[in-house]
Amino acid sequence: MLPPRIRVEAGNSDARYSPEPSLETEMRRIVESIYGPPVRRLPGLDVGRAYWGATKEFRYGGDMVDVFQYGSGHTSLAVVDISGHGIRAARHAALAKYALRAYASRGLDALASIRALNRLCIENSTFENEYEFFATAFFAILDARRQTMQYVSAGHEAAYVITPVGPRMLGATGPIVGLMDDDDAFSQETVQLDRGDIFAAVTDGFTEARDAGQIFLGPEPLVDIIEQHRAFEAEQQAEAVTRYARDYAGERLQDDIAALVVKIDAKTAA
Amino acid sequence: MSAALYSCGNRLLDALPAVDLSSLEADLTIIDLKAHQSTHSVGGAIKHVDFPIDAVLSVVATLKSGDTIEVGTVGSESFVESDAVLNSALSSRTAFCQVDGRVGRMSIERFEERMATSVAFARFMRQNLRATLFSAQQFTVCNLKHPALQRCARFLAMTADRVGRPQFALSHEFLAIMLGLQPAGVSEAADALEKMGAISYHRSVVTIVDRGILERAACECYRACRDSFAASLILGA
Repeated sequence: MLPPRIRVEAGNSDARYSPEPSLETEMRRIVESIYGPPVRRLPGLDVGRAYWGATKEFRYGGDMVDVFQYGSGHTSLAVVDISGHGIRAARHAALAKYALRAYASRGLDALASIRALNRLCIENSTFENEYEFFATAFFAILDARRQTMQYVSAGHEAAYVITPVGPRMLGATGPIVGLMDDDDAFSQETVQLDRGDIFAAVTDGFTEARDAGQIFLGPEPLVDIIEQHRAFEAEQQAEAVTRYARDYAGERLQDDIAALVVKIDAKTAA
Repeated sequence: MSAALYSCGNRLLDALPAVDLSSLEADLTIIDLKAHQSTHSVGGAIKHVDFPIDAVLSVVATLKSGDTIEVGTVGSESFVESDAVLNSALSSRTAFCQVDGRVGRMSIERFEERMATSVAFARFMRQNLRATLFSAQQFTVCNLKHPALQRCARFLAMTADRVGRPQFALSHEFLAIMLGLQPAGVSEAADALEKMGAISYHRSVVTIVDRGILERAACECYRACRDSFAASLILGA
């Protein structure tokens, strides 16, 4: 086996030393892969994500947004706000992201997936004897054929389906994840989706942004922002959402903000 | 020579008269609980009553927003679910284990039987329920009026009393959720308590370094609730 610092290029028998990225750069790449590259367009969906870090220095926050398409016509949406910051939060974000993907692609519904994640959080912290892992989580499974969205909101505020006739708030259906091993504490809801509907969710960095008078922004402006940008692509809408909170709070912004916008594509939805 | 009286380690049960204690062992199953393990679910049928020995249980209220706040901490001075004293068939709150340890579990049938047939048992349980109600009311005032530092000190002193040892696992995040505070506020309070010499905090393990300093840092609610439960362990109090 070759030592890891030597790379053999095709067609050239010379072993060459290549510039090795620094450990910090490599670590940064690994962690950024957890948060994932932008996903602009999936069959039937226009997906936009935006993230704004509250601090100027590079720091991994606890906000994780994931969109995962699997099986025949299913898409899972996850908006997770994990307690804490730094590498610990990044590890927990990775655990939540891939655990939820695994549960969903295995055929578990949204409720069973969140129950399983809740159990995993508790068991993992106990087994590894490490810091506890708490998170608010909005987890949904879109079924393109039935045009439904099944969701569980584990203490996660501020998620909406915005239809041409008005918004529907998708309220919490259970407590935060990782607190208590009680399956009965969680339940799920199902909403019908039509072409032209828009799903939007944010983390609490948005709702808890405060102006100079210490007034919380709250969840309500999310709907207005989306409506005002209805003609734009989902990514532009998501960016408008985080920009609004930054403008509202200015230098007082204390928490990271993540936004997810999914437009049920009027042209291509099944 | 008289036989030694049964003692399970729950101070409420251990305070019962000899006639009640003599038959108590057959009604209790000792259960090991792990942190976060659920014991009662809101709206669920009450199937058993748990008398903590060295476990600490949290009774919590979950709002429609999903926010979950502790409304009661229960240790060896009391029991869960207190609704059982009121003949309620359903739990009005969720309870789960906060600190690993043992509870003595009694089936609801045996609990109700004892409530109906033992005047002393029923009286002790009602006295204890009164202390629980007093504490809940005291916490309402506490949460409105007392700063994070005092509330954290109160919580840590009460938890130490209940586990019966000066060291226990408790993360900042958990404490913040239970007290309805921001994690940063809890971290500041914990740092201040460390600087005062009351506690040390390392990798989510709290050690009570100086009990006196911690009690002085706690608000008056600590002593008020402690005294209320202590009184409930004396028959006729």
